[in-house]
Amino acid sequence: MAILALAAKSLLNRRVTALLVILSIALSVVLLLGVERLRTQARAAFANTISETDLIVGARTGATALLLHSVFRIGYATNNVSWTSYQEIARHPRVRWTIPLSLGDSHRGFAVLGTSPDYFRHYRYARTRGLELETGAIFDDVYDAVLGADVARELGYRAGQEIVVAHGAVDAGVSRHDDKPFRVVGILRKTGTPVDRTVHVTLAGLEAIHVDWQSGMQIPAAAVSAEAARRLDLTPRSITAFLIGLDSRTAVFHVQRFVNDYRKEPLLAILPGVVLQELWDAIGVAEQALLGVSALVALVGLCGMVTALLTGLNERRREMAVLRSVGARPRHILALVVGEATALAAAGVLLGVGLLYVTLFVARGLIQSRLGLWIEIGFPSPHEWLLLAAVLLASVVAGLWPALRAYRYSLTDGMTVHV
Amino acid sequence: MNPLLVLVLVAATWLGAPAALAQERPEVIDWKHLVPAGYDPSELVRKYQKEVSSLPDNDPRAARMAERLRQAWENAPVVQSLSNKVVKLSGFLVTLEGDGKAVSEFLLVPYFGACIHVPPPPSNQVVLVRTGTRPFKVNQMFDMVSVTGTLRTERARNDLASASYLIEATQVEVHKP
Repeated sequence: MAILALAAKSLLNRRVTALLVILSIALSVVLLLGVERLRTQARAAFANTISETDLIVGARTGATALLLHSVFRIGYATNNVSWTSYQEIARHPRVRWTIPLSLGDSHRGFAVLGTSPDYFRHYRYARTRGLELETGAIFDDVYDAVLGADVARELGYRAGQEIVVAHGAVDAGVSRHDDKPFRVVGILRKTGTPVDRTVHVTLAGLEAIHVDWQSGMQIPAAAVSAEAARRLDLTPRSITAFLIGLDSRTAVFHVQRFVNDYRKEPLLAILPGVVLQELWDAIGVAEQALLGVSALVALVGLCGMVTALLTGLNERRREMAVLRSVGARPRHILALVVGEATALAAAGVLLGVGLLYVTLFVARGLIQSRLGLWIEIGFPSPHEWLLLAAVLLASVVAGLWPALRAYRYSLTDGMTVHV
Repeated sequence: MNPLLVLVLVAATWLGAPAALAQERPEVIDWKHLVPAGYDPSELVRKYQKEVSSLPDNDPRAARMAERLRQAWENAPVVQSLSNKVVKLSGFLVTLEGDGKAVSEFLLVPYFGACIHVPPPPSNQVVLVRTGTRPFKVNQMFDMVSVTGTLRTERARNDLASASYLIEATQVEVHKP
């Protein structure tokens, strides 16, 4: 025990170096685990956003672009799908349900999605979970809106409140549909998907607010009041994309072919699972590189520790000699240095894990506002434990070198130091 | 413990063993086995061709017939006798559901890129695989895998004429040719 107290005191004497060593190891652990954590969590969050949807159909574009835009609200659509094409494909004998999606407008930074009640009936996320209402009901009237959980929470909205939709993806306060406000009728339960950051309205409602818009602007002379718009034909002329559920998953290639060969309009049908897989394959290389870089950073951290220990040894030759004079054997000196390295690394790993969780708590808000994906913060995964163990083991091995040096010094120096 | 009880338990284990063995030894099947004997799609084509050629040009009946031919092709029959058998089948994996690391539901198809090239395989050449509680870790797109599990035939929800194959997989492994 006395020797441990001595070791601690010796370390305290060199606290600045020791703290820097701990910090550098901690930072490398943050990087190593952070890259791993974000990678797996982002994948899981993406994959959990859409389930049980067999096909996504949109105007012809890149498969990844269609998926990102229609489901994750990342990027924008290049073109729309005409309502007649949508109706015709929805009537295909193998199609069990469809969910029309009409995007492009926004409300204070949140996407506004025009859709049908089928959205609430058939949309699935996290394998089998459906959308549930926290309060209120789904939309029924033309000017009804159902809010995602985060929209309601961040803007403090309640059922019954009126909201104004802005034209375009950014609400700068200039082109607003303020003559036709929507009424909040329901708020959805939190899902951890982009649904939370979406304002859902009826397709007819979206059509109504654009009734008196021509050539991209509202014509004041042709203005139609909200009540008058109700009496017009509010069947949409086009939608951005739609989701398809089939009566049998094995029919997916045929219906995909049917859509891709559709003569009246260039359309694209994608299998969401396949496109996500393509996305992972594409960014897999970058992920590997990032993981490699963070492994190198961990190595640099360990090198720093070895450097600190080695340079410290010369200063500590007298300390060692004193220890020898009070009865410490050379192997005690060896154990002392290895123990010190392990203790420093352990402290670094602990601090690093702590820092990681703090970073994740801060970053998850940012990730959610940017991507609408919710990062779960849980205990380290088996793979992460393995990485931590690797850092610790590497530090013990790295500590052996200065320890052997110290051991040799203590043998040759004996009790008198000839520096 | 009662020695008689021990004896009974040991005997039960012994008797149960052959059944368990049979369970573990799957029948290795090929994609050909999924097509009923005597089913010849080209015969179907010939039959329709004969009828179509007897019609005048631009006859709307021709288009309807082409549609029927397409449906017949898509609703290719399945081999009912394979139902509930434990089989092992190799093919390419097309991800349907997964978490970014592993897939829990996928389609197994006989050739690479089945979801891109024309024409898509008939319905009896596409097998839906569910991995249940043990998702399969994917290395890359269109991994070639061997799936072991119970094969079932499943009717589509709103088209009773068409059936398709489903494997409840107990094991999915990377295929080694």
